[in-house]
Amino acid sequence: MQSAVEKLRKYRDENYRSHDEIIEIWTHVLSNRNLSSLGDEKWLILEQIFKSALHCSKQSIARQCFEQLEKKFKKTSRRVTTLNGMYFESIGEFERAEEIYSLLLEDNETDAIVRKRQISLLKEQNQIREAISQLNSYLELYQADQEAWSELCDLYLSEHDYTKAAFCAEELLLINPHNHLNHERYASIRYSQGDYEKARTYYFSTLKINPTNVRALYGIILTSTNLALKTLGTNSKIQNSNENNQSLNEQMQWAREQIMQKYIETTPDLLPIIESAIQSLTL
Amino acid sequence: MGQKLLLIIGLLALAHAGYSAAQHRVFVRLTEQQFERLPTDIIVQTLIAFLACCIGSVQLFGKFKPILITAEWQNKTWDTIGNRPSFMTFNHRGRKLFH
Repeated sequence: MQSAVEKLRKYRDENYRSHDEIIEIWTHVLSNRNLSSLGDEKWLILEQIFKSALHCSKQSIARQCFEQLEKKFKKTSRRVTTLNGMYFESIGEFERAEEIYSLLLEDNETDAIVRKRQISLLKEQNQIREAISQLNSYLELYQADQEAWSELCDLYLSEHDYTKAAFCAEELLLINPHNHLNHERYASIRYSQGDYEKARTYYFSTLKINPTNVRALYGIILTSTNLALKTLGTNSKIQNSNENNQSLNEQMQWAREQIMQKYIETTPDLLPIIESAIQSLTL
Repeated sequence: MGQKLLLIIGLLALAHAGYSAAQHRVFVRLTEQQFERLPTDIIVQTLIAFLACCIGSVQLFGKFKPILITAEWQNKTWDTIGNRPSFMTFNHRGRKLFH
């Protein structure tokens, strides 16, 4: 029981998405026990189980948790009411969910959580453009919201609007310059745009922060190959481009050796496959 | 548990050293000697007890965090960093997968 609670806490704090596992822990370990000994953490766990149950479409478990929460916090609690809205979202009654959310907003305009729910409601109904414009007006008010910038970036990517997605990724970089995944994402967006020079710079900055990022190593191989091909196409200054190509080649080799090294350390069996895969990526 | 014990022992030893110092003062006054300095064993006991208290209390409040700011994300993947719980949607494959 103790280890189950600890696992749930870890999942909750670090935003894991293993909802099926959470439900399993609940049905096998926790559902029949008395959770009162956990004190206030009980309610956090119930909320967590509720959300995971909705993800796994186990409405009966969700109702069970919801009833306990409602009994404790009454109908006046905004957080519990939001959960009720989520329940309606999950069974496809979007109008009722919207009704609940707009009532909550009327009560308190500054409730960021409810506004985010409204935006995800639009996303759920596949109204991506409407969601984007709502999210933009949300970000005008809450500019330091990392989660929202990340979401907007993803929404733009799903619309193939790379320029705007890159802008959001830049904002994320500014908010959190020490996270290697932000650098990697920005580089990948630039790569999709065809801006190999910039992509390569940011793949390198990813590696500077975290030398174990394999995706960035692959990114360096790809961008260097593409840049080399480009200079081959336009060899106006032959001397200059030769030198340039040589350094690109060196970097490519370096990245390749790094990847090989990682595979030798972890899974040597896969080495031949990786070798041929890299071969097909390079010239 | 060990660190708690160390802290308790350290505090007790510190209190004992203080009490001994006071007693030494009384002894000196009663025997009408000139007070020069505390005996070495009391000073040594104070220092050791102080060290034990330091180590015990530092150990008691959890583990040290890595000093490098990038270390926090070193082993994170996009699975957890890219997950945005306040924008979760329920209209996805979960409906078919777990039914």
